[in-house]
Amino acid sequence: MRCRDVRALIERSMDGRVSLDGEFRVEEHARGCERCRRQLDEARQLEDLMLQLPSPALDRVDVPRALDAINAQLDVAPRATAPVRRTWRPARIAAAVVVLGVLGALLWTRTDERRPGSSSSPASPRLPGSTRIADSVAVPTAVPRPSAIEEPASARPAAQPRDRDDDPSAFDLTELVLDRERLVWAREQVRELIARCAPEDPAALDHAQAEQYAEALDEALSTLRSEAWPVRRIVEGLLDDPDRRTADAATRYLGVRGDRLSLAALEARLATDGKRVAAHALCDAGEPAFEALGRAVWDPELSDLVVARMQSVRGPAGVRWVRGALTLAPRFTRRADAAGAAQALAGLLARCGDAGLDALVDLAGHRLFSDDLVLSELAGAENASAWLVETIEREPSERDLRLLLNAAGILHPAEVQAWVEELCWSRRWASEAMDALASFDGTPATCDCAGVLATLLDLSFGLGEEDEGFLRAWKRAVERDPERLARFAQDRLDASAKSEARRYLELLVVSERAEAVPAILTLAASSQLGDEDRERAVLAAGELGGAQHLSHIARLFAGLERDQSELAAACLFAAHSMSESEGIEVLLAGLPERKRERILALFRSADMRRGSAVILFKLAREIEPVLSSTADEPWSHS
Amino acid sequence: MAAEATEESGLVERAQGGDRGAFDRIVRARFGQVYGILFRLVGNHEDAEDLAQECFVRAYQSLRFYRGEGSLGGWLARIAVHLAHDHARRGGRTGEVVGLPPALEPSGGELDPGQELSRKELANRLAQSVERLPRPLRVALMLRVLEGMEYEDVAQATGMRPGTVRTQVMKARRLLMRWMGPWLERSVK
Repeated sequence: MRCRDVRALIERSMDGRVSLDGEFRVEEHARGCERCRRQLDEARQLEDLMLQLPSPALDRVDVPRALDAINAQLDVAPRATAPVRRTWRPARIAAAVVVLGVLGALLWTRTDERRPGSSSSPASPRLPGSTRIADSVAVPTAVPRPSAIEEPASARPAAQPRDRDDDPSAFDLTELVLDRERLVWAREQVRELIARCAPEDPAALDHAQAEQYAEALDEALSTLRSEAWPVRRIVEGLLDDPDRRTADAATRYLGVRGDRLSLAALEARLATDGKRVAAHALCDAGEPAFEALGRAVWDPELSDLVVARMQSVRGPAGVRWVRGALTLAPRFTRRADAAGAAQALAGLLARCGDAGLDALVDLAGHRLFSDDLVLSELAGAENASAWLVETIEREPSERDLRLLLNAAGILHPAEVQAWVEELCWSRRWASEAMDALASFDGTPATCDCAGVLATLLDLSFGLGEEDEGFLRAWKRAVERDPERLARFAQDRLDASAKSEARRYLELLVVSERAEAVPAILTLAASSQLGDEDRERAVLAAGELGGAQHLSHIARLFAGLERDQSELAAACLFAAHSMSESEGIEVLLAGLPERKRERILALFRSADMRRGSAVILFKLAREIEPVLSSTADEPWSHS
Repeated sequence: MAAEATEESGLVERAQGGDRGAFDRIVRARFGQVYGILFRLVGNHEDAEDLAQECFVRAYQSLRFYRGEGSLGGWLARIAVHLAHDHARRGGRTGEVVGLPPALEPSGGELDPGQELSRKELANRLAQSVERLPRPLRVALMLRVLEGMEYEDVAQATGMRPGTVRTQVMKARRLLMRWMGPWLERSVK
């Protein structure tokens, strides 16, 4: 039976999970194996110690009194009854339909009331906390104000009591159809006014300029409007005007002054050459056009424009829009095709405060939102660290843990280090948590660097360096800061934690990183480790290190005494591995030239393919006479 | 044992039907266990007793959700572990070393002063090491080793799978062995 098997059995036997036969085999092995015997004794002693820990003093507990207290609390807050199952009876359904109908009618009326029909009308519905969607394009175009137009008396429609734009229910299409001549005249009037007021490039107006233009046009249209012409409907008819400037100007006007029907006409224009102007106009319209914009953003030619305009919509409104846009993503769009829009939307969420960051994490599972995309936006978001700390304090759901751990690895605020450390011990999240923990490399003010190494060291006892996730995290941690590795090594030695120091040495070597060399040599310099471990450490340092580590080796070498010739030979070998003859020169600087030459000759004659044992032996023999009997008197025998 | 379980499940059914007398009997039978778990998790008598009462109030209020799929003890332990966790988050004392165990305190002249010192040192070291364990490992170890619960019940109490609990307990033991090593080694010699 091998020692490894016995140790596994010892662990299981502490839990009472080993058969009598197994116990016997452990005993039998331990009788002939000092190391396993000691481990068995220690394990039993620890188990005895733990089992001796008594149960808490139950005699201090007054159960009847506690029972009274419980009953008193239950009397105040009795058991919650099972939820009543609601049944929808026909009468209730009918009542609900009536109520919904009335509410719908009211909403319809109120929505139309908010639609402006003239310059003096109240503005269209706005997003909370903002005006319309601001325009990122600023073009200083002056909008000319037209003079009032003269209308032939014969062409005037019958006077109406009020503006039909403000009262769609009063609008009678048949009246216009019947009087086609009058309609053509009105259309021409509107067209002429639009052309007269239109800016040079309607597509280049920012939102304020679009408002200014709409105001000027309203003024020009006031005569027509006062005579009850349905101006908006007429303007909608100009969206496909052969004159591009007129069509664009009409589009921008409807963006600012349009109603629900106008938005449908504007969205239809998204499918034409004038799509960019239409997108601008929809952005001018604000929240009522969110759905149309949610579809428009997936058009590669429009996504930049829409997202740029939506930048001004922050907070919950922005989050709502992005969520809506994602639900409207074309069903069969490939991730690569929609990458630009998805990235822009993720970026928008990252600028929507905590609600946006919550949504980012929530949407990480969306087919168009890769984890990498979400993480890159989280990393760049303002106040992301504070948000992460708060999110973790709220006990995130299991679903979000992987992403939050990755975010912790990128942002690594000190407040979440303990949380990450704790997750390192969970079976499910250990790999991600260790990766994240390895990234906590900041300054001491933001990171408990020693804590990172200590946790990983503790984990190594449970996992072993063969655990892929652990090894990856360990290597990352080692790469971070060579100085802290050496400091941690010294701490282990100062604490006389011999077994931990030895384990730490093993892990440093396994990391195969040059950054680990100073720490390895710090440990190798300590007499707390056995000679064999120290020799191996020095040889490993030689393999991993370079010329920059020669001074560390030289310090160690200078402190060696005559009975440590094998360790001295290992130092010479390591120095030669690091920097060949220059390394030997550095270590043997105080020796006569002839002696140095003899040692160098050993290296030249050695056949390195046959391993290092022979040359180490020869080096030890060569160097022993020149080592001092005390470390303070170097080269006393030279 | 089976008879006790049957009797307890009968009490639970009656309590689910609103029988407060049956619930009283459950409290009398289980209060000690719940208090013990909480005492080990929060570290002092007063908080443990308050939380034990709170645990039974919550248990009664949500008794209708208990379907007898795990043991009643495991279910109560789960509520207790949650309460202890909430208590810690609210800033209550927790995870503290549960005093110097009386069984390891000076034994009254049976041991020589050197041995007394060694036992005290071991006890202190053990208490510190248990405190140093990460919370999930500490909870699993306490419920399994100190409270003697079955793995299935510990799993029910901690919301993990039994296999995970086994691993947690094993890791906790390994760590304790590692940290206690030098002291145990000296003592064994």
